[in-house]
Amino acid sequence: MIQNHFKPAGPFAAEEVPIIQLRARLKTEIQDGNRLGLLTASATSDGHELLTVIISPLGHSVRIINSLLPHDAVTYSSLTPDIPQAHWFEREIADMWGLRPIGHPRMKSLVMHDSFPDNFFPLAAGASLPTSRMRSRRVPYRFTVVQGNGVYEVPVGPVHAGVIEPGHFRFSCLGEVIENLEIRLGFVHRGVEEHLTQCSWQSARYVVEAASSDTSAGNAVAHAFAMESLCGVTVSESVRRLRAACVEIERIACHIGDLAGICADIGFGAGSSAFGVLRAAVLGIAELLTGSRFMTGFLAPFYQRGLPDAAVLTEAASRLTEVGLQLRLTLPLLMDNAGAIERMEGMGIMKPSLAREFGLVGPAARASGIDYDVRKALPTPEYECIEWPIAIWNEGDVLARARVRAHELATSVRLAEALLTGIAVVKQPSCITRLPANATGIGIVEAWRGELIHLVQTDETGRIARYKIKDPSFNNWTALAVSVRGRLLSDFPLCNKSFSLSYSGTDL
Amino acid sequence: MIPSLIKYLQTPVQTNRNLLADLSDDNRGLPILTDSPCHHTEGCTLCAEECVASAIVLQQDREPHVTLDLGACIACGRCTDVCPTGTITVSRSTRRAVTRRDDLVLKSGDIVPVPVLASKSPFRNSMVVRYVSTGDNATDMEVGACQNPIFDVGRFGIQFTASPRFADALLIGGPVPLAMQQPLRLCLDAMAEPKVVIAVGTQAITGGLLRGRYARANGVTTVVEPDVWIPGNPPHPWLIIHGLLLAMGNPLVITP
Amino acid sequence: MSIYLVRMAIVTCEIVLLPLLLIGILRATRSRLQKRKGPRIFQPFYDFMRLTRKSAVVSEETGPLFRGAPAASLAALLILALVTPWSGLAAPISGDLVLFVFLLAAARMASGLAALDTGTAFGGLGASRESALSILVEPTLVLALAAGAIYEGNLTLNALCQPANGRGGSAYVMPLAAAAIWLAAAVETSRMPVEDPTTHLELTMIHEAQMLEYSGPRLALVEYQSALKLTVLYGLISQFILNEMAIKSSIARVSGTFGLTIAMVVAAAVMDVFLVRLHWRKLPDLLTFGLAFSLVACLLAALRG
Repeated sequence: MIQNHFKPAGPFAAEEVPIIQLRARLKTEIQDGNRLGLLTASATSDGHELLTVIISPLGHSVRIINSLLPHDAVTYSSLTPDIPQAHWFEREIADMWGLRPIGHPRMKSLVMHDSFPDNFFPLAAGASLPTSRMRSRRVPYRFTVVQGNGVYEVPVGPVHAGVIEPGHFRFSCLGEVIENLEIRLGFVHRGVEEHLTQCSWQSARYVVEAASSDTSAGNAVAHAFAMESLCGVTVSESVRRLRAACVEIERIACHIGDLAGICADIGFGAGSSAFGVLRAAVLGIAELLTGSRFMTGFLAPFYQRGLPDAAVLTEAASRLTEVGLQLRLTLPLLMDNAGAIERMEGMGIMKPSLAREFGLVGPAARASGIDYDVRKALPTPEYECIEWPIAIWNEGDVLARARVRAHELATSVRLAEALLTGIAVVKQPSCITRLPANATGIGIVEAWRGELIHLVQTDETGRIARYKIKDPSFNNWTALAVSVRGRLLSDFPLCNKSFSLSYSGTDL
Repeated sequence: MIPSLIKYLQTPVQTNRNLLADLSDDNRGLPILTDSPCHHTEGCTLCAEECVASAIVLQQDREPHVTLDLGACIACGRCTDVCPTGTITVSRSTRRAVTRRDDLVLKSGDIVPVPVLASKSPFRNSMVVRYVSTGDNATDMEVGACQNPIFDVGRFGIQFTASPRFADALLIGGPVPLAMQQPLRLCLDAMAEPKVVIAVGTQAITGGLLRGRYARANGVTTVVEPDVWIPGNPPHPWLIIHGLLLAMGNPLVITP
Repeated sequence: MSIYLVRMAIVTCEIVLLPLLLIGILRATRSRLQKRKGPRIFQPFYDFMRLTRKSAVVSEETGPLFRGAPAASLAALLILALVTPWSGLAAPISGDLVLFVFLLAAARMASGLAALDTGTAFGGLGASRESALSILVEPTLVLALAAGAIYEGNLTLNALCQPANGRGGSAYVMPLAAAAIWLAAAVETSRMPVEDPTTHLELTMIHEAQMLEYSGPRLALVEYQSALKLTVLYGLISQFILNEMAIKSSIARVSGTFGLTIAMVVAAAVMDVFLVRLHWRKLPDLLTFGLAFSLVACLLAALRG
């Protein structure tokens, strides 16, 4: 049992670090075993500041570092050369705020496409999109060109062949071998963060669910934590248990869906059929608890409307037990299948050292030997209702990622059962009518793809002035691009599925 | 492996033969407007205040009445919870896809329109669908679920395809933000005539909560006018199948 | 003469109806094995009719090769269907095993050139993959057919369905040759474990990747051709098995062929559902088995002959 629980509510340790010292400071933080949770920018009364969230898995704590940029500064010295995991964060900041990192090794746009006008930075003060027929004068996006005899390019997307989200993959190949893969995202950039500063905070919970709608529960819970930490309130244990149970059920449904996808990608029809049927049973449990197969519009900050009654909870728990039994019988179809194992083994390897450098999260990180799970790193009492192991494999290949998922499925079923049995139906009315001024809140959740961070800041009138969502996929896209280097073109879909990343969560 | 395989082989066919069955009672469903008299004339504005999606409008013209746009509704269930007269109530029907946008705007006392099928649809027995996702991955998952053994769209002669050239129907999910508008146009142009366009999910119809911001995520209509509209956030697979059958002109959508 | 006409009529009927019917049976079986109700058996006919009624979108990048290729490869495959005794009856036109392999290669060349003509990355990929595999498959096919020819003492394909010696018990020549052709057929008809026929992933496609640009009536032709190829190859394999069973009467051979073909289609469906697609680099290993089978069949046939 861990003694010092992470307290999601209440003020976070915040400190000011001058921008010139930030790079050295972050370097030592990461050497000390801490994580760069997110890096973003925010507006201040006098220009901009960089916000860094540092997560300390060993100290079970979260800190915010504010670094003020000089007045009117639109550039800063890039952190990426020392901290590789900052490279996408910096590209995003440049797109959204117009703050350019000087010395970034590969600076190009990340989420803002050529179809947006030049010098349009959605979050910068006074940004507005010209309503008239606009002409983009942006420098067109340039893909990295691999030169050499016989190298050719295979462009894939943005519209993909399967029922998946849009994104563009540019493969540079030599024969069948992938020499380089560049991933171009941003096709589903919908302006979620800007929207969250414009809508009322009461309806924000519905908007965050649409940020990556397959992670509705994860986003709703992270949002609830962020809002509660902003206001410094806590909710009853029952509500927290219900939230955790929802996140676990979402994890079960999505992990099963990923395994079904892996089966489909290796052409194993029996497996995809069996897992597909099992996933439907889990969605049925979600529907029973929340009224929606994707648990949308149910979990709210500060209170919980319509706590399910005892009969529903018992029914859900017993259905979960049944799913657990079915899983035990179905998982070997894929995990003990010699043909499937041969297909997955050694495929798309992400080395632990590189995984650490890129700051991977979620099952992909745990398959590359990184002992990081928000549920353990920032432990809360509800996750200690039972003893459960963290699934770690060191191989970093597709097989390891599948094994981590299979292992986590069993854990999540046990966890969700235990969490559901401890919920007492106590109505908790919302006590918050307005948000505090000039406050900051953070919510961190281990969603099914990994560490999901919501950061919220209010202005002097108590309106949401800045809302930042860091989807777990944001950290992992680079890993996909790197892990397929030197593999065959026909292996890419399987590697892609094993990472199972969200496009809309990254593009926002 | 062997016991699992034996168990798999023993499993019966999983396909749900109860076509377009109502959603389970656990589901929040989608709202409908009944003809039970509304207190709007007496100053009740509860539903419109609760609606976060601005789907409910209190019409002030000639005769005051309430309209509910399913194309904007995010199925949160708040209006059905507060309505004191039961004018807005839950419907778990899965036959909610329509062929005219106006039919999604519900008025009190409306009769649910029975779709009129084209007498000669080129796709009645066979239709190939190309799905384009534009930023709503829960809808992607529900479209994917239509292909699982339980819902099995294949039995109606519907196949999903990898190439727009093969496709008869373009199924579009998500709010179609600015950067996806050109790719969507290209995809549409790559399809051979005759073709139908289907918008699936609230975000595809109006952009849902994300509409009206700088990224112009205002739904499919910024690029093309759909032939079939499927409401829901995300729509249940049965609703999607209902929309697909409607696009095929399949009489299953009329005879239960 | 009248017998020739009857034979011709039966073969024509089978060429028109059987391929799509077999695909329908295959898909229905596969659906059942995946625990789903699945499409009707006649669904491929509906699909075919729908495609013939559609217009075609042809990219401006393509030239006459792309437009003409489906007709050219259809011609090659129709001749193939007319020179091969795949229905259990002697083929209307007499041909030998070299012609057989040539016609398959001609059809492949037409579709490969058409794929290159589209100028798309996937077309190029598909053409390159298909030709790489065909190099590995052709020797297997030639040797397996040669084993049959050596055993029957006659190079014409028709000898396969009119066994001269009709001894049966061919000391494994016929079963081995049949197995070799079955493996080759997995490549030729893009079935598991070589290629997943249900996949939507362009990057993993081989044969399918060449056809991605076709639409409308041309697509209907292309789909019919892959079905025809499957029918001819499975019918041919049936002849080897029937020879092993020393069946001579025409009626027994036609019905036996029909039964065996359906059995093979069901087997293909089982493989589609329960096998895992092989890694591209492992495919040569699989095809080596085919080559080994056909080599041994040849040797045994030569020893017996």
